[in-house]
Amino acid sequence: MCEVALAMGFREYLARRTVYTLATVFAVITINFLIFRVMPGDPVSILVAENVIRPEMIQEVRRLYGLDLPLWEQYLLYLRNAVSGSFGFSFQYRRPVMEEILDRLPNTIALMGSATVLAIVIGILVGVVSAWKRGKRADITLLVGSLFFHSVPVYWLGILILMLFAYQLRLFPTAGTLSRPPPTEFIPLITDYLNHLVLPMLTITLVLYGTYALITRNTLIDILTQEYVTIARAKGLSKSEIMFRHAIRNAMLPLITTIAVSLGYIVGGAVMTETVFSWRGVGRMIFDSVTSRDYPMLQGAFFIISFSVILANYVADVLYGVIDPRVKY
Amino acid sequence: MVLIFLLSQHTPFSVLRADSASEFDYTGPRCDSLVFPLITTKSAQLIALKTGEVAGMAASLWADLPLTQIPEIEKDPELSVVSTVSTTYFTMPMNCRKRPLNILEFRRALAHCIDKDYLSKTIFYGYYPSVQSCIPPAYGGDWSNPKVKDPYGFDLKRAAQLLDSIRFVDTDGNGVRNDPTTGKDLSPLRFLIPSYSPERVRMAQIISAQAKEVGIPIEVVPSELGTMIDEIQSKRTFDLCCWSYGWFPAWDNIQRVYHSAQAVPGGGNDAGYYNATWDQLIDRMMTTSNREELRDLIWKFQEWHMQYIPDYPLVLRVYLDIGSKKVDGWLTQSGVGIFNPWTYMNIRPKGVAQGGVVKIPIIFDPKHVNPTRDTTGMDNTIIQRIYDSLLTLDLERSIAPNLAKEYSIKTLDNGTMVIRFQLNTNVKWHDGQPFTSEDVKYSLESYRDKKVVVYLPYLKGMYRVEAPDKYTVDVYISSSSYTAVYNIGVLCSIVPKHIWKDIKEDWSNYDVQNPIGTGPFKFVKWAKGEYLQLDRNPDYFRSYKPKPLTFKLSLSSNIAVTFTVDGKEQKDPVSLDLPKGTHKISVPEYVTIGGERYKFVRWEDQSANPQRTIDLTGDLKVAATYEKEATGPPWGYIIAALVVVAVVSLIAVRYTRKRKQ
Repeated sequence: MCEVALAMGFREYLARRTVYTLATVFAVITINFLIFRVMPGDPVSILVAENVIRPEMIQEVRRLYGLDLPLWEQYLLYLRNAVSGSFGFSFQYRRPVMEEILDRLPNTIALMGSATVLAIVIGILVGVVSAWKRGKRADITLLVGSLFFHSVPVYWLGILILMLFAYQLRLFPTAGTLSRPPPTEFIPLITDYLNHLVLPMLTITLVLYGTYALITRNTLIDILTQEYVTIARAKGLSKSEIMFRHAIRNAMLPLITTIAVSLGYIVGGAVMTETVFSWRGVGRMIFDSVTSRDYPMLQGAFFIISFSVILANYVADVLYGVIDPRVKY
Repeated sequence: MVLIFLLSQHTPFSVLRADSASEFDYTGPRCDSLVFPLITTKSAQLIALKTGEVAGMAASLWADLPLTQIPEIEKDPELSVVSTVSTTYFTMPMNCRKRPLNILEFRRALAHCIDKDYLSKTIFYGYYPSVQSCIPPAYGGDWSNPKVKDPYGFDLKRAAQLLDSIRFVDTDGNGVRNDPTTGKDLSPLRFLIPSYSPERVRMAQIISAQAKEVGIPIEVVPSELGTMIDEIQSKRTFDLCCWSYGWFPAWDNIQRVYHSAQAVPGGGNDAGYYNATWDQLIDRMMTTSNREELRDLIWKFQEWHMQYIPDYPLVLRVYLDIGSKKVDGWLTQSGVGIFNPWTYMNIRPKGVAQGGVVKIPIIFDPKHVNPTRDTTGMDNTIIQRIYDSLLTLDLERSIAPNLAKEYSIKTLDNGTMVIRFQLNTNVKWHDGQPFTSEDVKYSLESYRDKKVVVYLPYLKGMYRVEAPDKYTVDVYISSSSYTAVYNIGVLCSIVPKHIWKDIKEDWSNYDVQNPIGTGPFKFVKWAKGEYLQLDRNPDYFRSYKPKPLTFKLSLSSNIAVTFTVDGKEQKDPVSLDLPKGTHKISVPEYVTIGGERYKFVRWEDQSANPQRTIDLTGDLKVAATYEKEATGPPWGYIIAALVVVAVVSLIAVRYTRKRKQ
């Protein structure tokens, strides 16, 4: 009976979360539409100013991109296309928006995914050691290091890493996703890709790990003062048993939420890092699209990012409820 | 208060020279491939240059490398910095559509608030000198009027006097002058500056601070470039901005920027200055066929421009290019720098006569490779390697032959000008098809008939194109114009008729996937966001022919002899440059000098045959040895014999006497 009630409660919770999520998605789609309409600069006039089109073709171009329709009609058209995953044609890349995004997405996921996972692992380890050695020199060193890398401008850090590893030590290439021109065989191609991945991944990892380290450390410190930990110590359990069997498990809960949201941001790439290392990802594409007033591309990219963050939050919410038995529906 | 750091003047730049320009014979390409990797920041480009991943970089184009880094770069023994004064300059257009900038004395007062030399020294560390005219000397020739000097100069007192004279006075004592028509404080003038250029932002801040001292409020607005373009060229809502002018040639700069027809959305007349007299002068400029008259008109315009200043020229841009010494073939083109068409033709890895891959970074992807669409410099970097025009500009930026080996101009009785282009006969398109006059006719007529935006201004007056034979093109222009040769010959790329006749879309928007041209390089691959590759066109009509390797052969002898080298006589001593390989050398067996006969004895390698064959694989010294041969009675032997006889006789006589005793 209790289990049935719990299951029903969970189902209701799930349904509620799903409705909220869909409402959020709808709100994001609407804001995504409006935000580019209020930005300064008219994309068609930019095309005229750059002599891409003749002034008498302005109307034709507006018609082509639906910019001559009333705002509400543009919105409905946009909604219909968004649901089917079509965001139109990119002004600058001259191909369907989704095609360009999907072309770059693997690079972004490879970079951000690997860097985020590495940052999580390193962050947790650093947080655990820091909490374990609280107040001692190791804790202070790790804390200062985490705060430093968390606060340092990523552009500056990227250039420093480039200078050290690419120029001084000549260990890694300076730019790009692959060598120009790239190797043609499979294994050398993969090796080349990984070689180019190292430095941007290192940069993002250094910038990100601090967040996880600080959350882990602070949560663990709080947990270590709990009564059940005191009891565990009184029972005679060793420090490592207390840490790894009791404390860390409970410290994972707030981390899961942070990790889930971070994973949602993976698809957005890292504009600064991708620019410094000339990494062909979604982040740099967004930057180029902003400067080119490529509205369709921006709408597509922002939708993808928003959707993945919302989805990640949804998964985090559901997962939290599953992992933490204290959560009641 | 703006804090300014005054730095010392820069030291002269080292000149990067692997070939002297005088040895360049306008043939090429010398490398097998040009690769343009996308490296999106100047800092990363510099690192790539230092590691040898790329061959060079334009430090001051698109996004500037901080000028403070230049002295440090100069210390690198593997790199050279080349500075080239360009025709482009930073200028401050003033929106003459709006009050108070439509008042001449107000604009002049503003000019008096600007200390250009100070800006040059403090913001640009002396690299960018102040500019005196809208056509600076870097245009070359005699287009720049030497008599035009900036009559304003930094003079706040004079600025205040001018403002007082037009009754812009601070009536309420709050430090801001009042507009006499409204009585209210002047609204701050919005000064738009591209945010990607911190130097220009600082420059605007200094100007603002100095103008504030005479009561002109200025609000500096660093803007993203697209927004700036929109506000300046479309909406026209700005007050002041800092822009870069300096289109080449001189008449193009004037026509694009100052004709009232350009004061339309997308046009170049940013200041919106309407002057019927200027329009007449510019129209005359574009239609005169007399070079002297054209020059005089351009000189006159410069005088007027400095009087009425719709824009106030500030500092001249200097292109700072950095090249690696691991690469040979850098050439400097006047007003352009080392990244010019001839460098791309001549560049190759060090020590290689022809071959290798050269990498030049680009900071953003070209938008397209279509020569009929409007282009940024980045697009041109690629397009001009693939497509050719009828004429070109040489290293001194003078008109030179290209697809057309010569041209002539005839003026008909009705005033029509006919330009005849005689085409080279050995030109092929990249797909192997022959290039003929039909391609030129088709290109020019299509640009006119399809109203291709970028070429229309250059084809003004062109009403007919004829191809009397396969390699001759006659272009008829309704009125004589000196500028027509440049506009049609240099600025219009030629496209292949057999490909472009099948294109149904609007050419100005057409996305060319596989460009076919006649240029020195063929399109190979464009991995967008990564790199673009061009390969050498082996059938290029200006193909480079490697010179054979030569070595020095030195011939000498202990007497004066005549050597024969490969059948040709050479008098001793001989020093020849001969190609690598075998050569026949011979000397006479006997030589008579002053009645004495000499016989050949041996070469330096001890061989005794006066004829020999050498295999020349390096510099070689060859020496022949002769000895004198005895030709008359052998007096030596006779005397020796007489001496022997005498001695024997003496001995015999003494012996005989002894016996007798």
